[in-house]
Formats: sequence, C-alpha cells, structure tokens
Amino acid sequence: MRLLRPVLLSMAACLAATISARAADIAPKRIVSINFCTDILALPLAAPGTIASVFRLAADPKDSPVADLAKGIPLNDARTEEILAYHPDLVLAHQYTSPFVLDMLARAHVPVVQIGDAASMEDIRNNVRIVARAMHREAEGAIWLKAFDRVLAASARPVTQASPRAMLYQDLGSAAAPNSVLGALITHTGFRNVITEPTPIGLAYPDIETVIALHPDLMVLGIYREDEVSQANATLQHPALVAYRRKYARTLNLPARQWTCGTPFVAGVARQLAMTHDDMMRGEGTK
Amino acid sequence: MNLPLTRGMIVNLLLTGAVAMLFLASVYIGRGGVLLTSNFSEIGKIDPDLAALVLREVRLPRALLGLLVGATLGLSGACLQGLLRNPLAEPGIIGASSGAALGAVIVFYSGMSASIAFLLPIGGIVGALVALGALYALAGRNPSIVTLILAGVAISAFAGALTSLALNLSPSPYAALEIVFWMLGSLSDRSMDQVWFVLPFMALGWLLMASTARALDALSLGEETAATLGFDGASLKLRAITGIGLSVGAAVSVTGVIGFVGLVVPHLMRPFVGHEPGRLLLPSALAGAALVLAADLIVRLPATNGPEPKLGVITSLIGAPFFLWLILRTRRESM
Repeated sequence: MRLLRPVLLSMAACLAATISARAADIAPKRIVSINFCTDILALPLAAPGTIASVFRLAADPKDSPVADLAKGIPLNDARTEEILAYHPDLVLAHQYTSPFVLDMLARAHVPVVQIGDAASMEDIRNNVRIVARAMHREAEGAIWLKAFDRVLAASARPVTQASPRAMLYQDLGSAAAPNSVLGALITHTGFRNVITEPTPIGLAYPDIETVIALHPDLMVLGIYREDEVSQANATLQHPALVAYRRKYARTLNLPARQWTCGTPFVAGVARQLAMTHDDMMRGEGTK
Repeated sequence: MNLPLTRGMIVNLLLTGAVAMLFLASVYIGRGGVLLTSNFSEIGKIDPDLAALVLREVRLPRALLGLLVGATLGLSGACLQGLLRNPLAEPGIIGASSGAALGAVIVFYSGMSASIAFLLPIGGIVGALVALGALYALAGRNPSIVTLILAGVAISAFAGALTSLALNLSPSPYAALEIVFWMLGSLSDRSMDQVWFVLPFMALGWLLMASTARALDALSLGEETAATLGFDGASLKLRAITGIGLSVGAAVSVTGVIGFVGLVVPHLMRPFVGHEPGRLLLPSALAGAALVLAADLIVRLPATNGPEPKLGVITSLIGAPFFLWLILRTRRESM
C-alpha cells in the first residue's frame, strides 16, 4: 500500500495535467462570469452563445456599458450553487471574489480565471489580454485594444504650466489620485490634476473646503445613478460646492458606466476630456 | 442687588465658557488641523466672497450642528434618566435614536425629502416617537433597569435591522456604506440648510423638556409624592417624551446616530450639581454640546487622505466602557 501510494499520486497528477491541458486547448463554451468587471470585458469579446451567465449588474443600463450585449443572458449573483448549475468550463472572477466561492470552485475542478483592479492603462490592457486568452479570443482582444489605443492616441494633449487644473470628484467625496485610471486620463488629456499625491487606493478624500481651496478650473463629476437619492450623492449638491462650480469652474458630468472597473470603455472618458480641454484652451483659457 | 453665586450657576458658567471655546475651535480648526486662516488666504486668493461662503456654508454649520446635536443628546439623556428614574436610560440605549434613524432613512431614500426638506426631520421625529411608544408599551409603567435595557436593546436591534433592510432595498449603489453613516453618525459636509430645518423642532423639544424640570424633581421622590405635590404624571410623561422625540428625531435625521452622549453626560454632571433631575438639565445640555464638539474635533484632526472617521466611533469609544462601569457600579449598589 505504501509503495502504491506515490504511484497512484503520480497517476492522478498525470490525469489532472491531461485534463487541464485539454481544457486549455479547447475554447470554453459555457463561460460564467461572476463579477461585473469581467462581464464588461467578456461580453464584447465572446463568441456568440458561449457565455452561459453574467453577474446581475451587467444587464442594468444605468451601471453597465454592455447592457445591450447582456440581453437574454441569464444573470447570476456569484453564489456557488448557481455557478455550478451551469456546468461552466470557465469561470471569470475578480481578485476580490469571495475566497469561499473560489475554494468551492477549485474543489469542483472548475477552471477559474481572475483579473485584478486596473490602476493604469497597462492594467486595462493586461486584463483584456487575460480574459481574451482564457476565452480563446486573442484576436478579438487585440482588435479591441488597437481601437482603444487609437482613441487614447487621438485624445493625448500635452501638460504645461498653462494647462487647466482639474479634479475628478465623485459621490462620497472621493477624488481621483494620479495612481488611478481616471487620474491617468486627466493628465493624458492635458489637465493638471489638483490631487498630486498618489494614495494607497487611488482615491483621495478631500473635504469640500479643500476641494475649493485646491481651485480646480474643471470639476469632473463622476456620478452613479444620478436620479437616485443617496447621502453620497448629496455631497455633490453641497451649496458651497454648487456655488463654486457655478462661478469659478467648468463642470463635466461623467456617468459611472463609462468608467466603472477600468476597461477599454474609458476611451469614451478620454474623448470627452480631450474635447473639454480643447474647448477650454480655445475659450478664455482658465477661469 | 447682591446675587450669591450658587454652585450650579458656577458650573453652568464654566460649561458655557467651555462650549464657547470649543465652538470657536470647531470653526477655526479644519480637517487635518488646517486652520481657518491658512485655508482662508488660499481661498481668498480666488475670491474673498468664496472664503466667506466656505465659512458660512461649511465651517459654521458643522460647529452649529455639533452644538445643537450635543445639547439635544445631553438634555434628552438627563430628562430620560429623571423620567424613568433610571441611571442607564439614554436615547441611544432605549432605541429612540435607532427609531429616528429608521424614520429618516425611509423618508430620505424614498426621495420624499428631496422635494420637501422638512419631511426629513419629521421622519426622524415620527421614528423616535414610535420607538419611545414601543418602549413604554414593552417596559410597562414602572420598569426595572433590566426590563428597560432589554426592551431598549430589542427596539434598537429591530430598528437597526429595518434600517439596513431599507437601505439594501434602496437603489443606491452605496447602501452598505450609508448604513455606516446612519449607525455611527457624522457632522462632515453638512450645510446651513440642515441647521435651519432641524432648529425649530429641536428648540420646541428643548422647551418641552425644560418645562419638566420641577415635575422631575418631584418625581424623584416617588410617583405618589409627585401626585400629592400637584404634578400630573401623565402630562409630565407626555411633555418629556414629545420633547425627546422632537429634538432627538430632528438631530438624528441630519447626523445619524451618535451614541452614548446622553448616557455619559448626566453622570459626569451629578457630582457637581447634585442629584435633583431638574437641576441637571441645563448643565447636561451644555456638557453634551461640549462633548460632541470635542469629539468632532478629534475625528477631523488626523491628516489622512482616507475618509474621515465617524463621530459615533469616538463617542462609543468613550461611552461604552463608561456604560460597563455604570453597570458594575449599579450592580454593586444593589447588592
């Protein structure tokens, strides 16, 4: 028995290797995405009919840039039982997906591919490549990235001392720091970000008084579901902030669905920022 | 006329001085210890009018709300402890604050208060009054300490659960984060609008509570004695409960639940002004204001890039150990 064990173990290892090798060779046909960020990346890349289910937020047009692609696809809530019921041959998840769910999937031998949070343009490209490779859609991934890079190149503007100062301010009073996708886009499109220090999570939390003291010429407001009441939303309506924006700064509203998660859809943000930049430089410059 | 200064008057004068100093400090010291003057010159460079706007709409409302909410919590605590003749009574512990938060949450997230701002404090007030009514129904006429606290725990838990449920069902993507605001309280980024729409309700509540002072003194001698002295028990209860509901409901509807202030403050004041509940009211209101203003200075001092700590974190850090100590002392005395 004792002699047999290593033999059995190595046989099992061989078998597992063959299965995973086979899994890697054949394009997955029952993909289940259990995270909103992987939904946004997988839906535009997928071959028709290969996505069995997406996370529930994907279909909400208020939040999701891919709501039309999610139409007709069953939604999931990222619970183990639900996921397994689709017999997935690939599960797309996030680095912050519940470890309990990931553990159960590993025990059921379901291949899982995870992406991380994007903090830069390169992170966005990497995430697209990871998802495309897992779905055997590398060519589609490359085409998407080429289009993304084209828009980025077209919206690049130099930053000089004369460049307008900008702040991207969101619900809950958070502002995009330089080490975030949105922070990178601000500088990329020729603005000076008034938040100059990187922070651990890519967001700074200046209070209203500090926002005004930093004196941005452009307030980019990142808004989640603007028609729905929240304390978070109320921060943006503070009378002092409203008065400042009305008199001293230009405002650009950015619906969250363009930038949630950091995906190639942020190209739309780059385009709008570049247009605003050109407009401000043509006009009286900075207020 | 030669007015002899009583001990109570000296205490009140000192407390008024402390509140005035803390109020000025609250206006003068900003987030991360940034002084008004330095931020002012920065903003004044853009436009002096803008600096005035920041003073009027950012710094002043925060200090004013600290003052008003603190006074409300201190006064309500003293009034409740007198009314229930129970040293552990407090709007937070007996569930009035959680009830107010629930009422405010329902009004706020349903969008009702977006059109009519006055509905927000009214939601809080109704919630607080319902919770107080439930407490009376649960704890009966002459509740023991244990019955009262347990009833309060049950009401708090129930209202807290409904608050979370209401937020989970609301379409806001920030529901989970906002549960924290309603349960731990904060004074940051409020504006003068909020001060104006809670002030009338609070003032009315304070007057009602102040009117109970002499009746509370009589009540401390026992219900029978109070009745023979000519105090109407039903009217006392009605005024006290309505006063607490009005002011606590309005306070919670703009700042969330700030715990333990009403519990700690009357106990701190008793050694100075004695045990008569009536005499305790004014010092408790003043000390409550001082405590909340001081706690609000503490939360804004750390110079972090992250979100500001919630006010209830500080008051609970002070209040919860104090509460435990009170329980121990009460138990020792009853043995």
